Amino acid sequence: MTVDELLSLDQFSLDHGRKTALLLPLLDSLTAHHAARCPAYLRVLETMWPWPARHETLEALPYLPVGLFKQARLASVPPEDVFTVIHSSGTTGQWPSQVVLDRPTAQLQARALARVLHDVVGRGRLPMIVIDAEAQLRASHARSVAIRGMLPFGRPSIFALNDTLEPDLPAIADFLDHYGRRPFLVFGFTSLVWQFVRAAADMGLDFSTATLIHTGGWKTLEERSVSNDQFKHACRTLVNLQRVFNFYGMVEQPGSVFLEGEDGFLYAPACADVIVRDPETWQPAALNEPGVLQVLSALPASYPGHSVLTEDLAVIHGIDDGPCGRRGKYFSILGRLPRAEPRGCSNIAAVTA
Amino acid sequence: MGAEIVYAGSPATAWDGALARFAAGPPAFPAFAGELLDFCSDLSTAISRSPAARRHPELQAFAFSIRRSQTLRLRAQFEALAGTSLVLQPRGCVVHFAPSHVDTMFAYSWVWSALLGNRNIVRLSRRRSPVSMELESIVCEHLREAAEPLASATLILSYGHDPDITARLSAHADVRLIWGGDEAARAIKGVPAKPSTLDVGFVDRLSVAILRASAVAGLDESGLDAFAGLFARDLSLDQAVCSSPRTVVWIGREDETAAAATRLWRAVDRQLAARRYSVPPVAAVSKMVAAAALAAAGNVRAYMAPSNRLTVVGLNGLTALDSPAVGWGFLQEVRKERLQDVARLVGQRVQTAVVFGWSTPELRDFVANGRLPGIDRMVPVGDALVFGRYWDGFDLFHTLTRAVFISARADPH
Repeated sequence: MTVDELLSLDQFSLDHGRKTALLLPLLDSLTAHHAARCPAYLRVLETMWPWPARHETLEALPYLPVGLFKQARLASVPPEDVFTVIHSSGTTGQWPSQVVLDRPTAQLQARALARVLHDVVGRGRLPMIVIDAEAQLRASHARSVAIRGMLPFGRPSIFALNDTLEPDLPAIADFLDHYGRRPFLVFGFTSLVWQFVRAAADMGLDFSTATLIHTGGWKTLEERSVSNDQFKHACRTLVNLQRVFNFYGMVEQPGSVFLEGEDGFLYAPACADVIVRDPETWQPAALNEPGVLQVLSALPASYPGHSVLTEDLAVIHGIDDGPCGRRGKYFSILGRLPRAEPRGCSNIAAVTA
Repeated sequence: MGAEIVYAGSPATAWDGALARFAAGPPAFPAFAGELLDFCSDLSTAISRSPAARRHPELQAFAFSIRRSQTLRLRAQFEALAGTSLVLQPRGCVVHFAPSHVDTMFAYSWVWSALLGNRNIVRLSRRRSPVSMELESIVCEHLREAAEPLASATLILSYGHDPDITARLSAHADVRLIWGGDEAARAIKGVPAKPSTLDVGFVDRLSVAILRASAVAGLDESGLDAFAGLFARDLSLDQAVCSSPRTVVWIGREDETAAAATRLWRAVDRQLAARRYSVPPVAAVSKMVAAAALAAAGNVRAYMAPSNRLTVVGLNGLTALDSPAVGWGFLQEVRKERLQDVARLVGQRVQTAVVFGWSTPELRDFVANGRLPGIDRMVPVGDALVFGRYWDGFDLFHTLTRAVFISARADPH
């Protein structure tokens, strides 16, 4: 089965066994594909992995630590085929990650996003409110990449925040006037949505026909003490927003989106999967045991991003038996790897993920 | 006033006004006086018996360094420096700027200066670890009970970045010992002091291990394990202290080096495990990224990561002894045919070379003939983190004393 065929299936109805049977050959040949076309990737494989090799399980596939994308430009296409390069720094002060896309991969990623979100958004475009400032579109961090990825789903779409990230009430009121009685979409980064929802509390905004899709972690310490439940509760009670879906994704694997089910857990779609690894042994952790998250995706053909070890802690709760009825692995993100206090003579910065 | 008084011999509230008098007082004791040695001996015992010392080997190491047999040895060395024409007097008032991330450094710095008869002001950062505070508390307890004038000859303060307080202290400093790397040195030196103040900055340095492959190969199993244990000690404190080797240069032929290295790194990993060397996940990931980045760039010949604790990346070549600031058990290694070949890799930043396989005359030749701009100390494997008289190219006996010259020609006879 090709990636395209895999994307045509319902993304959350495949049993894990069946998915693995479809995904493994794709990922195995992607590994060989990138080894043949990206000399830097081949060097990493030959140095740090048994290579050449074919892989019998998803767990056996080589993976790259996501930080490598900030240190090297990894491309499996010649310069003339490069459509765009995402330069994105997740945190300030670091070199940006470089994600090299050719046209086919970019299109595949857009299609994958649509197929995954189809579950909660349906087909076709809906009016959309983006809880961010329009200026973000021109920037290059993870947030802007996500917004640009979501914009195709909205027609029309407005930006709910002005340049100082405060709610643009007239624009929102106008939008709700025109579209608020029928289904519409809301998209934003989690911490901005949280701020917005609290700021909009007493303004009588009614988002009852909306579906919120949000992503991104909690930025400030204060925000980090907010649980998923509290977040949903605030959405419900402050702006009457009932349908709320979180998704986890990263700039190094655009299109590969792990979408929350009605049960509050994140699910891997058919074109992707997750493994959680024990950070002492790097072996796959047992169910319900926290570890470092690895993400696999059948999409990246123009750069070796199909198997990436993230810097997030996660835990897999179960496989195929998710309460909301979706199949496959379901998991939760526990947060970034905790920073390590620095020691040593220089008063250097802490090692952070 | 902004500074927290951790210890002051005189009433704490008066420290700012009393600073001038404090600094100008006579030397606490003559260098290495009996009372000073007694004080160190008591302090050493108290620290090594404390529960904290059991959990933190670096406290044990400090206690060990000030035990009586050691201070007596230092006294003998010091006395040998004086001569008929030379008397070494304390500098006067030494202000120590302790590094925020090496818990025991403030104590080494202060003790050395006190043994040489100086009055001391120690500035600690606001953020200190529990280990640091544990040590401070034992030190202060002993200072309170110490004989005068030692008890009044020490002032320990803690404050954040505050050039005003630093300036006030510096106005009375005969020496400023500045720990904490380039940034700290730049910051403190930017604050004016007396025209005569001697500034000593312990700046960013890096360290290496230079190992003779045939010597390592010649170790039997138990010898290798002992050697590996010493090497593991050199990686303590997350390998973050500037004297921890981060680059290993093997001297030897390719075949003997490969065999010796594999054997050694496996043994070091076992020793790290026995010492319960723990690497937090974020650091394990950093090491993976660093290794992958080196591999991607095409400079890696071999990669060994027997566990989360140790990652060794064999490089094809190096133009200079510089290593990615990774730490937590990350080593890059390279091979050269002869010791002399290392000379052109050595820059000013190289501080410590941990060595194995050469005699002292051979090492002297290497340093002298190589005209090395760096390497301030060559020590055996296991001693990388042992603080001593010779540090960063300084002889502390001379840095912390004033040389008083008495000309023989002044003598009428």
